[in-house]
Amino acid sequence: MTPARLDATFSALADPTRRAILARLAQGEASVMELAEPFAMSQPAISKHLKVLERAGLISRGRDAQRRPCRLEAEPLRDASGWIERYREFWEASFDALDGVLEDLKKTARKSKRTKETP
Amino acid sequence: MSKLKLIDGAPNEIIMEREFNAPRKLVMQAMNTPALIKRWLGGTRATVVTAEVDLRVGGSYRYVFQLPGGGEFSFTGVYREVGDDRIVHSERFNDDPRESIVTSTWTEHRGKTTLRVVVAFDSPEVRDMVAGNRHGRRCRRELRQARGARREPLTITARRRGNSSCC
Repeated sequence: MTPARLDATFSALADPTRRAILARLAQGEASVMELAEPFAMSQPAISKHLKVLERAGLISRGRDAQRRPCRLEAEPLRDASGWIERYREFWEASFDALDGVLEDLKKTARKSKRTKETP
Repeated sequence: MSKLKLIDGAPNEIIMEREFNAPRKLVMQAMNTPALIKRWLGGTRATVVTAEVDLRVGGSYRYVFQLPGGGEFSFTGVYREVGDDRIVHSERFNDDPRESIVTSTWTEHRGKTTLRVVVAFDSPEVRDMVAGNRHGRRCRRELRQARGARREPLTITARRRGNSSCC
């Protein structure tokens, strides 16, 4: 996942209404009308949010010209949550290598101590 | 078993903890000296091609990595606090405008040192997305609030696939 796409995902999710829309879509697809209903918002306002979500690839719209049902797309969410796993793996591999460097440093420190003690 | 522990922190934080079999001074030296950083940072996953460290408040650092496949990435940031057992710096991945704040503390006990790294993201949303942890709960709460009290509580079964986040 490119940082730009991650950014689009994060921006899309920064808004509580959009997160609520995604939560609703986790139950199954819904039309704009059905999505607007629980919110104190007009359909055009909801449509704006849907466009942001669509651009971020988080939802897709059906072809049915009348209803154009919205559907949740899991891929970007999965990618974003995979990011922490990669972050953890990166540090895990790094710290495992650091163990080796620390052993070397300890050996060197012991050696130089011994050298100093020898007259 | 993984030696690196992930701890649940504040909504916008990720906390990592790792113990090293070495005194604090040695661990801090290895983690903040460019020549030594090059020897371990990235481990088997990436090679450090550039390590610049200006370890003082206001000073900056830059690590450039090369991936085995040839790609490059970088971490850059500015030191905000530099202490004997605690360093705070900003962290930016590649050219992402978003910064996280990284607080590292080193605690020595009987010759071993525990490193605790707190990564604070600029918003809880980003952290939730990244960690995929509490997002489900938050979504459900917000949906309930959005629907108001005019209906029976809504139950959502978050369809989790793999390590995907909720919703």
